[in-house]
Amino acid sequence: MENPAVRIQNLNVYYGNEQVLFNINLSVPKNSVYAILGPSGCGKSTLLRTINRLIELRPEARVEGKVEIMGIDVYKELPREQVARLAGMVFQMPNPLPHLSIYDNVALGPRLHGVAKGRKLDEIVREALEQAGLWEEVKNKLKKPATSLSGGQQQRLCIARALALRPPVLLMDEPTANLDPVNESKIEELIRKLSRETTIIIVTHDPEQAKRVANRGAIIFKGKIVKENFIDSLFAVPYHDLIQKLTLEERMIIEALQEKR
Amino acid sequence: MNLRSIKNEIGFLLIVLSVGVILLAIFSLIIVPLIFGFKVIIETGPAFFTTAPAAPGEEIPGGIYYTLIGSFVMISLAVAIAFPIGFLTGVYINEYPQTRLAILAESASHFLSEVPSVILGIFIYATYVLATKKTSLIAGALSLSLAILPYTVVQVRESLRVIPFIYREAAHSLGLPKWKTVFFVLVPMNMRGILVGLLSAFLRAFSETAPVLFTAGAAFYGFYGLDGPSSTLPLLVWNFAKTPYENWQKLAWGASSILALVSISLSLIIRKAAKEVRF
Repeated sequence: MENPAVRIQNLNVYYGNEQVLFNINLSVPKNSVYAILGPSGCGKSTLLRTINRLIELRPEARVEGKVEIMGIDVYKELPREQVARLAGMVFQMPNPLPHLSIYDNVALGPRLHGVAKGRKLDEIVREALEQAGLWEEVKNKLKKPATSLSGGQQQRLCIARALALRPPVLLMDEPTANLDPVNESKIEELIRKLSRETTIIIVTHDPEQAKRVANRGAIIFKGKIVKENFIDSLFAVPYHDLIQKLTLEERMIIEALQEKR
Repeated sequence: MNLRSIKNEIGFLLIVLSVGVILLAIFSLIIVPLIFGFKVIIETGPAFFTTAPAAPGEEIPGGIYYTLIGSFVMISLAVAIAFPIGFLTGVYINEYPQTRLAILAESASHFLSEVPSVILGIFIYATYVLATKKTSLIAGALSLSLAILPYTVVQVRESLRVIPFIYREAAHSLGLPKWKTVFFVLVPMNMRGILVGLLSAFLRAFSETAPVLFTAGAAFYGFYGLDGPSSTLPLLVWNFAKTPYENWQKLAWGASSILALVSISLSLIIRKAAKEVRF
């Protein structure tokens, strides 16, 4: 693939002595939506956190291999703090900072990185909130605490917060897992719209959601990529059948090993 | 009524009785000093707060003016010494829990909280009072600060520890360096918890008696500056209650009612405030 937005090469990740990701290789094309699927505990959230070095919050984690965002090696060529400008992140649980206002939550990134202040910062905040589809709902209460918003609004606020640094890549970790169907479809619509200018990598356990929003995807099982393709080809075998088959195989291997002993 | 239900009734009665006894004991522990003390304070009037103790054997008990000043200055000084140190230590222990220094600091703080507080007084006596050759307000404040330090450490660490990991992730994902995450995000997020810690430090310093026994001196008739002898309310109670003079015993009752009232209200405020912390 020519100039992908994100390229991961020979990635191995360990928590202490336990290996959680095995030799991951993938490329995410620019301005597309890439879905990472898999059953819970398979390592998909870990993979996402490896891309923006969020994994370094866990002192026991060790990363081997190469991660490039827009051609820049994020582990070798950048200080950790600067990676935020290449990749923003949205989490499973809406997590606006509760002691800050709606405005200050969005302004936090640009302020911190010295991008803008005053009028220019107001512009950035407004633009980010518009992109997240939240501006009309909050424009008259920007000074209110972020926690005064509903769950769905809080999640869109978090999207605005991540977009305020104008990163070329947006990482989303099951962003609709805690939302009702109405807010879920709002966020999905937003994802499709944002992907015109931003590369989005979304972790999900819902194959239907992947079909609705993504162009391409990977299925991870026990820390390994078992399938990687365009979204239509990815589900040639129905997702749940595939996971069931893999789980069965895994169990048979474990049993065979136990019998050998 | 069969035997089993009679046994059950008797058992239940015993439980209710023991609860009643404990409640009564606690209630009288609070009420007795309040009643006796308030009687003295009402009889003495405002003079109780604005004058020095009267001479032994006189009709009136006099007041606790200089002890109130001494208490206020000494406690403030003790908190001013202990809180910043305890705060930074608490932050460090929470942020770098696996490091050798953090483990050492945590054990030291734990140890300090378990040492009988009279030992803290003796320690300051041996290191500071003997060196300066006199008891002083500073010496009292130093020994009190040792007594409150471990509580501050634990309270600050807990305030940070209860903040869910997702907020740390949010800050990290925006590129905040660790120290900014702590001081601009986590600490302001649980300011209430930190303030509860500060208030607990005041409460602790206010009610500790043993550490100041040999260090603060016993100056009830004047305020002699930071470097001079001073006194605190518990010290006044201890000194005056054991005398044979009735007016001095009254003074001690009055002072204990103030002690009881302030510590009960502070501890109620702390409980209320601590309960409301939610994430």
